[in-house]
Amino acid sequence: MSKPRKNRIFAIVLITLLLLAVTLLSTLPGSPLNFITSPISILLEPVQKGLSKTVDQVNGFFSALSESIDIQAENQRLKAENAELRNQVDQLAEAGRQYEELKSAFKLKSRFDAYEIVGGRVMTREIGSWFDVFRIDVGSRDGFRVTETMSYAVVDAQSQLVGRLMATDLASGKVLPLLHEGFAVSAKVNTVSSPLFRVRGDFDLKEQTLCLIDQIPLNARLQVGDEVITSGAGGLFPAGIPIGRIVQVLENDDRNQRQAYLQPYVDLENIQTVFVMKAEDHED
Amino acid sequence: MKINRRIIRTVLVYAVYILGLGLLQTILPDRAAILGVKPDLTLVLAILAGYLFGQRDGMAVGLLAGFMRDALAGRGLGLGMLLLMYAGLFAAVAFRRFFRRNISLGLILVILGTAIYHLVITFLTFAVPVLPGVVYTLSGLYQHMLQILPGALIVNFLVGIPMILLLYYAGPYRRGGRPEEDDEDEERNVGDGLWQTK
Repeated sequence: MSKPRKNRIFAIVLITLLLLAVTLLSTLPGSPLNFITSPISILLEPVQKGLSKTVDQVNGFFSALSESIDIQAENQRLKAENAELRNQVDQLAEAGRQYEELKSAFKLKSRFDAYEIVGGRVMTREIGSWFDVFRIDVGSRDGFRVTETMSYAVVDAQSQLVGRLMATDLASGKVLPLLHEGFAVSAKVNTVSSPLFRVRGDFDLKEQTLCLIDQIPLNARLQVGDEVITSGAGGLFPAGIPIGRIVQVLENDDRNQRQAYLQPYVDLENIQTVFVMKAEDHED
Repeated sequence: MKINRRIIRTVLVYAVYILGLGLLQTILPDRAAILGVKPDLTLVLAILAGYLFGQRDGMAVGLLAGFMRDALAGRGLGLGMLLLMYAGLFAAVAFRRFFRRNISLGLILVILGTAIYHLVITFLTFAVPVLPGVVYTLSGLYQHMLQILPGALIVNFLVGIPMILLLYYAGPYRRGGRPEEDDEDEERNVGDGLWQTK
């Protein structure tokens, strides 16, 4: 074997071992390795926002064109004008929706008055099934620093649970959505003195946009249609955040193994603005 | 001086491809999906860079594109880099002994690379769960892979067509501008030096 080839194989093996170590280390909550992405986040933030806006506009334009495909050929000029106007209307509607979301955020603030609420925009979405967290423009410069014992709840403008912050760099944060198999939260039915159980993401249910309810106590009576909210146990998520509704209860011969399916309220496909909650007595 | 300009051009063109495709991938609308799967632009880029321009390019592009992927949507750092680096290396090595590099074989390699990528990541997710406390079953992961694989193969093949043309005609090297081969340990002449003579 020639020397260059030996060197190359050695380099590849070395890089592989290094990357495996990086992979394992970066999964630790609060790993400083996550800050390696800070420069790229800062650099790409304006580009991403511009690109997102452009894609939205192009998308709106093509939507408008496809919707007006039935218009007669002689109406071409009107069709183009119509598409342009529709595009403008879409943008105005979007601006209005964001205004409504911001207005809702004020309600959110009054509802969870022991929490600081910081709004953020979704910057990037998942890349397929395996790279499936999304990024928001809220990071450690906003006072959010994820550690082994500290994370932050993420909700939408209607204060419905979206997920939790799983890593931050200087300018951005990664959100683990509640459908993800790594997500779990203590929850209860929205009634007085309901027993606690666990709501978690499940690999098989993710495609159906459902969560799994397990660890259901023997005395718990779950019914289809029940609203499920966070219990507040564990301290990460404040009590009372709506999660979703039960759509199916799976009875089991062993009553300790009962499970149920939950349809989350949040629309993860179309969410654009999120709010991160930080307890006000939490040290930065 | 001439060499420096060539290197600068190469780096700049690759940087534009990696940044542009990496960002585009994370903001693609749902309408870009086929059978529920969106194109994996950075994977296709790494495969084609390795296939067209050799091991060094495939490895470097794979590493950098993987870093973008990890930074933008990964559960941690490193996994995307590792996978795409090997995708680039695999593409540089595969077929080389038997075939000349041409566009149609590049597209077949995209399909093959996509399938192997999904197989490997399925096994890696099972063997090394990136999230602590999460337990996967191999059968569950395999079933999931089978569900998404047809869409992934089709959509990656389709985006591979414009991308291979882009790399071929507006790639990091000028046509005819890379006379010597970078894979210095290879016995055969490969890369630009070969496919440009066809």
